[in-house]
Amino acid sequence: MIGGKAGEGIEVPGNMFAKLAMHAGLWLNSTQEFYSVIKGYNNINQIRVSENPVKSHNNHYDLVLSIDDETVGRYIDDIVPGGGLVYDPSLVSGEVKRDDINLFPVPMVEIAKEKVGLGLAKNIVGIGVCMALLDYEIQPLLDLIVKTFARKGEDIVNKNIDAAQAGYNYVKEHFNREFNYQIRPLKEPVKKFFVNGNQSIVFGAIKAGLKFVSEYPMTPSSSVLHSAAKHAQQYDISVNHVEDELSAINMAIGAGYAGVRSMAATSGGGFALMTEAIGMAGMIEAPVVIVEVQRPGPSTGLPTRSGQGDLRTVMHASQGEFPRIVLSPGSHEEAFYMAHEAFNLAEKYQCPVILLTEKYLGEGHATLPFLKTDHLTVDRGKLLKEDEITEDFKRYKSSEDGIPPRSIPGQKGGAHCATTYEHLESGYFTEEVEPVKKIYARRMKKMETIEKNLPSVQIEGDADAEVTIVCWGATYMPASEAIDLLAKDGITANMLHIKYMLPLQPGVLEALEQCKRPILVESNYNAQLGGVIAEKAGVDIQSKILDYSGRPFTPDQIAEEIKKLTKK
Amino acid sequence: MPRTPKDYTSTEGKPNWCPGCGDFGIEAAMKQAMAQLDLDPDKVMLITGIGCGANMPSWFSTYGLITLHGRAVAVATGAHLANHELSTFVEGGDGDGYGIGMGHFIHAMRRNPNLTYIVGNNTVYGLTKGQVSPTSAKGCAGPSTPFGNPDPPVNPIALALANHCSFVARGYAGNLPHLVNLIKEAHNHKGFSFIDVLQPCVTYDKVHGYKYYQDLTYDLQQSNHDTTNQEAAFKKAFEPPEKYPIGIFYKEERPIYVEELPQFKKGPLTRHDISKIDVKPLFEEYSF
Ligand SMILES: Cc1ncc(C[n+]2csc(CCOP(=O)(O)OP(=O)(O)O)c2C)c(N)n1
Ligand code: SF4
Repeated sequence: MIGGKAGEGIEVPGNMFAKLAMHAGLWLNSTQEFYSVIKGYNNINQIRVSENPVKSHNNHYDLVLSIDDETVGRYIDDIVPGGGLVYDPSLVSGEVKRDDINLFPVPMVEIAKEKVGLGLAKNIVGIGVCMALLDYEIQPLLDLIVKTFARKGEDIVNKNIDAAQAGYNYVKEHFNREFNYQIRPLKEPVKKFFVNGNQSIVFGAIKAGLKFVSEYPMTPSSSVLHSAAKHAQQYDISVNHVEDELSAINMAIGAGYAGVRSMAATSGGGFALMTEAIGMAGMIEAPVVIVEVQRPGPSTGLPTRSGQGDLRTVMHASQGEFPRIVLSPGSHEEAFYMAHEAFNLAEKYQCPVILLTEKYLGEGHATLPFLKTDHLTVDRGKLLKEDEITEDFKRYKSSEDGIPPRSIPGQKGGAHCATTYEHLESGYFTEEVEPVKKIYARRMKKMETIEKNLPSVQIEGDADAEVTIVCWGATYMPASEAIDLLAKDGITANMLHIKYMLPLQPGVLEALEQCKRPILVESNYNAQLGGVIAEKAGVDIQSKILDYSGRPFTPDQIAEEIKKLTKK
Repeated sequence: MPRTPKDYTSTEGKPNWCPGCGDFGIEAAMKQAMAQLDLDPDKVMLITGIGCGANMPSWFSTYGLITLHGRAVAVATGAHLANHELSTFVEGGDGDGYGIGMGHFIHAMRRNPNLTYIVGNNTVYGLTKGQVSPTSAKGCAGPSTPFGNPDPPVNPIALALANHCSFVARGYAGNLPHLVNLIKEAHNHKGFSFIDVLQPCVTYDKVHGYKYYQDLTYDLQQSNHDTTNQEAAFKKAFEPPEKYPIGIFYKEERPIYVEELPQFKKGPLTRHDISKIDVKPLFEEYSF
């Protein structure tokens, strides 16, 4: 774990450490906890590294690099016995005391001042220190520094190289290797890449043919905008930082209506502003994908933290009733595939699709193997080709499955008026009873068709387990590791992870009937998924583990709570 | 055969505006302009907000989209960027554009997408039964302001001039030939072209009727106005209510959005092949 003050650059050493671990062929998961200020407060970057895929973060540290004062006091007790703490005595005011861990006092500021002429380069010194303590060769770090700082000129590169080297040497000169951790490169590592959940979503969207993005920055969704913008020219995408979320969603719907795959991303507050337009997409039956990266509310809430309080919001936002789909991925890999799927669903069912995730996944990083994409196809549903448009084409024509044929502007013979007013099959507005009832029912029919075509929910793990964790979204990550922890304590657990929230994916009732003891695990107060399951599947799950602190669950927290609940 | 307004007219229903409404003039002018421009109705998008005037697409045979109150410009920008080869017209009332949709209007002018934005400025909220609008004069009474409107009006022309709008014009719904020409010019202008149209609401505004505008409007292009002179345009923008200059106030050639970005060089985004996109280079880029 790396801790420091906001503005002092804990991101750079964090990402460097992550990349070096990836270089060694290791798997990792990293998450940042930070305050909603640009400068001053204590922020941390938690990185977990392993020879096997890492499912989640946790709050016990083997090695802590503190480049401020506060990290030491706040987190020293979270270091595991035998672990290490790197700190700069000149920065730390209180006494640094723990007999069962290794203390590595290093004058990082002094070294930085001497080598770079800037105390702030203490983070680079620190990363050099860590690599030495972990007995990893220094060359990859130096290469990475060249890559990272190349744009800033040779002088900066050299100074940072000196800083890292000095930190590295300091360890070799001052500490015997009493620290029992080592980064050992894997022999034949799988090829991996390192992304956060938002980037993974963007990559999945690009694979699906993303052509249009409009967003107004809002933590923790902004990196959707940033990474789409970064790759806009490479993949010919129109990426727009617009004036507000009203514009973001309305533009995206305009683009979707006109025939390209479009996306808007936001967090809860911005989503609230998008509400009316989501109903428009439902009414004119335009495809659009909305990514909602949750932070805890209400209102401004905890801008830089994680939560799952918006499930009901996205399910019900906007007046009236209309078809929509809400999906929620459980991991970085699933984020990629579900983002891709979201675009197919939006065009297939001609409706808004909401990809609901949370800060923990969106901004948390993980290494992924190079993902398989050969099986992914683009399904544009009932979008007609120009020569398929017949004389009697009606844009909102009745059909068995509720899905009408679709033309897009510019297509010969497909012109029609799309309107947010209730309308006839042609699109022309109407208020007459029979046609209103007919088209309303036809639209809603789509919900049944969608539900029928969704994959059934699957119980993951031991079918006979004593306990079933019922969860959604990125709670999947700590929950799956909690199952391993429980196994060590002799408790068998499996998981019911719901990925399609609306329509609720089929098979939930059947799955729950197989479970001995379902326990809901959600990052909200009201057990929102629990409510949905009670309503749709008719099962009111009594045992609940709920956390609305704004911090993601850790595996041991879930395991401990389950042990408490199952103790007779 | 030359196209006629009929080619742009839907076969379903007839406009339901009050007899004598200025929206009939706007509708007729738009159809005439489209015909004279020889636009293929299948290559035209008409995107509107919500209001009396915004019901327009119902009676057109082009692609039409009636969006939400105030959102037409945003929706149209997205639709235009998706397919910039189509002619995109945006229409709505003054409440729609200068009230609830003001933010999009201002930012669209900065962005300069190739849209033709026509605002039916009737100085009232017609569809919601005659409340004052952002362009109503101070003191004017309505159901929401029985003791008189406390606020002075927005000046749409000055607002546009101050916000990088590359084509700023005013038309009058009662002067058809003039409005037809204006719409044609606006369409042919590359960039965001804005026409504020003086539009009598015969039901809720008894002051700004045909007689009133007939007497007070005069043609800028007949009065030696230099359309490249922003300062002169500003002066003209402050003439009402003594007089209402109509015509082009200001025009400027500025690079448009889709010309500045390489994404659009391969033709409209709608035509890009999305069936075989390779994301492996992204995986490589994020590897070390
Ligand atoms: C979000 C929202 N708020 C309010 C309304 C109600 N509304 C419909 S049209 C309108 C005003 C119409 O005035 P204007 O835009 O000037 O158009 P006009 O009817 O005069 O042509 C209002 C307030 C609405 N449809 N949507
Ligand atoms: S209320 Fe006014 S603006 Fe609306 S249709 Fe009647 S005359 Fe036209």
